[in-house]
Amino acid sequence: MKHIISFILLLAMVHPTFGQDRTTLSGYIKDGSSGETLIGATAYIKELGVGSTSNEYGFYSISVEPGTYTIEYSYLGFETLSRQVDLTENQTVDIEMGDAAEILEEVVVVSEAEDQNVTDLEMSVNKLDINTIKSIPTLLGEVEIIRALQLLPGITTVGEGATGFNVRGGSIDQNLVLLDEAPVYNSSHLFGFFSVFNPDAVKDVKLYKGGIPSRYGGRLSSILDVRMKEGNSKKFTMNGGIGLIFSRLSIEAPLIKNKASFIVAGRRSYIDVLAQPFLNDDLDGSVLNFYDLTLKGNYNINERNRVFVSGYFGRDNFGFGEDAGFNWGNSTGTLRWNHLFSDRLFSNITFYYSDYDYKLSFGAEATNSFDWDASIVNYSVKPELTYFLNPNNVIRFGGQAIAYEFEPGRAVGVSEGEVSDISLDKRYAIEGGVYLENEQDFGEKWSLNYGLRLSYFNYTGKGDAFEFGDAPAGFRRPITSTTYFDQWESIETYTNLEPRLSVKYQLNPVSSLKASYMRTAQYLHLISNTTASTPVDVWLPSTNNIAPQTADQVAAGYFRNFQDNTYELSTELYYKKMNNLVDYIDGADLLLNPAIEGDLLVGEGRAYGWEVMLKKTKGRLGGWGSYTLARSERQVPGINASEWYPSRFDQLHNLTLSLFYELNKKWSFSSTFTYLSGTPTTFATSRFEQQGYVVPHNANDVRNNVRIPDYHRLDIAATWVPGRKPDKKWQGEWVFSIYNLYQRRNAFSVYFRQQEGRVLADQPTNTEAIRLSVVGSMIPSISYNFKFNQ
Amino acid sequence: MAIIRNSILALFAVLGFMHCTDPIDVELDSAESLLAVDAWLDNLPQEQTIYLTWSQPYFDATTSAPVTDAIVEVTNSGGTAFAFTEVEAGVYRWSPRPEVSSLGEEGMNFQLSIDLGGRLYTSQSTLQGSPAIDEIRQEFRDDEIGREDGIWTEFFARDLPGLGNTYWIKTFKNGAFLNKPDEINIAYDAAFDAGAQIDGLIFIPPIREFINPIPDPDDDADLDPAPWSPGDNIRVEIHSLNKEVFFFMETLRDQILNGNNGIFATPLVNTRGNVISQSGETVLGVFNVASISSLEATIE
Repeated sequence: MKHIISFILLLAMVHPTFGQDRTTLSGYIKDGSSGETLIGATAYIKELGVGSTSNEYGFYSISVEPGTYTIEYSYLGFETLSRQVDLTENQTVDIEMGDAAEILEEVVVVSEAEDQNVTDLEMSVNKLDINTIKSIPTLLGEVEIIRALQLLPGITTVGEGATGFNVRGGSIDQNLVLLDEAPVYNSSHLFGFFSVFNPDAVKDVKLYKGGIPSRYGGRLSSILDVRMKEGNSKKFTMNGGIGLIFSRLSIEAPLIKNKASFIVAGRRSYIDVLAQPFLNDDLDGSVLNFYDLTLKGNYNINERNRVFVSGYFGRDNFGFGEDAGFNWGNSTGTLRWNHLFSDRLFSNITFYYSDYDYKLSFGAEATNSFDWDASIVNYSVKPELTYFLNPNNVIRFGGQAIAYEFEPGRAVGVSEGEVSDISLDKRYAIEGGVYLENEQDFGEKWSLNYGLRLSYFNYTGKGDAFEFGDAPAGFRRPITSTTYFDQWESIETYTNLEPRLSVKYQLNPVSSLKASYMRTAQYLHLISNTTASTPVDVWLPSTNNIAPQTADQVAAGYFRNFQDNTYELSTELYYKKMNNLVDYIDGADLLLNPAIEGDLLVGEGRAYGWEVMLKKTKGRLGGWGSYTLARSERQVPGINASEWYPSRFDQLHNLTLSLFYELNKKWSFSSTFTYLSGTPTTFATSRFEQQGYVVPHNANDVRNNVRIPDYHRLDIAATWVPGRKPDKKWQGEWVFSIYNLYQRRNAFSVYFRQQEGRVLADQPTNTEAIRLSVVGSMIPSISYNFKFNQ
Repeated sequence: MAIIRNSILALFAVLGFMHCTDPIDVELDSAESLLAVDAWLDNLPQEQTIYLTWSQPYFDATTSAPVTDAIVEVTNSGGTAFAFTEVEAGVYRWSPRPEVSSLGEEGMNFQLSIDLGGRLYTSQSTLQGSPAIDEIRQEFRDDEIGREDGIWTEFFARDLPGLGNTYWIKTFKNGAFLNKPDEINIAYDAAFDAGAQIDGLIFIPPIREFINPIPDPDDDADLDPAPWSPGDNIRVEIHSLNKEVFFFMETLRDQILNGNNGIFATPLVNTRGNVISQSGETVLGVFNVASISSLEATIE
């Protein structure tokens, strides 16, 4: 590590002006109307042709020779601001930018930031503007972040209602979903229909599919970094909406003007409230709802210190009469402190808590009941420093420590008053990481981000650690020995060195080539062998029997903008190799099984593909088209005769088209079309009879040998704003949408069954293939959204 | 605990959670026919039958082709051999004689051998105990979600001591076996499956109550789905299973009910039988010799 630090410093010093007297221009870039800091805004020194991009907290810093400069501040959707700065000594300039759309109505200002697609070093990154997300037609009119991401190349889902998303052929547990830096272990409400993010509280959404910088770690395939709004620091604002599924309300207001503000945002579904009068007696007392609450506050202590507190609490509740109840949800809490050591050294320290848990209960009587709950809880501290060395070098370094507590299942059954406790032991682990990265420009054409992450994992007591004997590939391995470990006593440790590199070569002002390499390591595994992940799936640590997953990914891309940045073209090729992926023996028992590690198999994966996206960013007609040609495959000893086979989310073609059209000030329209190759599945070849039952059999013993029919769907939406006046306090809009316009019955899966009903003796039994569709018709909806500004 | 998950997810379906199903035509790969052994025997003094058939393409809804002219024999560890003779195509039977009334006693091992034109197939089974059924309780219950009002029953028995006893609880309504796939009621000790390690208890409530017939919501003939009416005869039997036969039944049940799990279905998995071919090819089905305990009652 020491050598690497020296190496990076050495590289940084290569810059010719290093060591000369420098003055620093720094500050925060904010949205002038709300006081929200802007992430990724640029401050550009015209005379020198150098600039700085504001970080996740809106902070920018440039160190240059003293002089008088013209600084251009720009951010997509905002009017570019120009400032003359006499930089004889270090200066702090906080900038408040004006909303371009409000000033110039339909004409969007052409700003420097619009060529970011080409000039930015980042590749394999998808950013979605929250306003774009809000314009996409959705299921039941609910604005949906994760489903919006699925319109971008390389991001797919196994079907409607499936939890999570798949990035470049990775499984859903390989995505690190961060909400204000705290991981969210289950990003969905109602399985996968809605995500846990309240759009009114979200400021910025960024998804890394590759070229992930060293400051992120812990998952193989992607990082979804969702940042919450800080809350309007200038005036009271209220946002809300009434839809068919949810109602939402958010309130933002300054606590101390320009110094402290907060946001509180809540949503609740009300299917059960609406349905209550129509429920039969036997459904009385049933509960079916989901809700979430997002809170954030911040306080600007002084120019050098700012603190943020944020929290999320969400839950899905299902209750069936008096007999059974089931609920699950996430809670997270984040405390952050931004501190400026100097105009060039920005620091942030984050403390977070995150918890995912579920509870099930059956049986109303105390003498006959079953209660079961499980959870994953973690606490973490994460210091990060950014050193704006000079305009050509931004060095970031920091670390993270996480303490995990896994409760894989606490279950108590009572049968006729006899209690049996079949709980599993808790499991504990510590994860650590340190990193160093530098973003460096070499001349006009070359930019690099190179870094290294060292990650460490320690699986610890207290609890029993098992050793397993051998079994033929694909069969359950028996426990051969059990050893007890005390609290925090080390059972197994793992270390991984994760190099990361991104390179950009600017071909000319409108086009560039980019390439990246990353190694990632993941120490957690979501244990799930169902088509779509269920809320009862359990997270397990790497143990003495389960090694961490690792992946290497290379990607290369070509980026070009046309017609004065009106069109952006991005195309990338990637190849990803994954090791130690968890799979399952046939008939694996994954829940409440103390010897679960004996039911797991370990295999390899590879995913590769070509992604292309063409985006139109200006004019009344905007939108994008995205196409991905991809493969995702697995090889697991004991499955598919140990040969490579397509993974559950191998979808060769993925085409999406998203169009937005603004007819006039009152009416705007949008539509999206999605086409996805059918997911692979395993079909039986034969049947045989056993005690009168007809049993399917796959005589060739192959996995995922056939595909269900292709998926395609068209959605449309129209938004009507009855009276749009910029100074109006209350602004309302109606959104009309139709999901699945041409009523395609897309298959989620195809399964086999013997004819329904009781089998009669001596009569042959029919067998059939059944298509399961989650949405079988068009779903129209209407919702009303409002905004109130004091 | 798969069944717990399954029952949770089935509850969503009850709420009319939006999804729909319809039969479609799909093309399947072809495959060779395999020998399927259906050898479920017991030690009661009654006829014992073994069915041998060939597997067939999945959508072939005709009666399975019988395996004829096999030499089928069962031997117990007491040294007695039982010859099963072909009484009709593919049906091999042994009938009790005055001197040998049953296959054997608890604790005995049994060997099955099938000679099919020189190809040899063998299997082993141990006769294990089954607990006595103490009571079949009848109760009138009000309607509740997923349940009509009417007479419901529950059986009470205590799992035999020791971990890893496995059973198949079969119910007969007026003499007819409740044979729907979702009426399969198997138990590992007193609970659902191996992970739980619940030993020597009274069977847990879902198992106790799985003896009620499951109505067909779509079937018009089944408009009155109350499970039992006064005068009905209920008979509950506990069959002891060998552990690998339990796992076979668990896979069988999960596979034929997989569709009930909707979007949470598991990949297609093959059952693993316990019949071994000397030439190494796959043999379908199982051989099990069970002890059977039972209790009967009339619904009042």
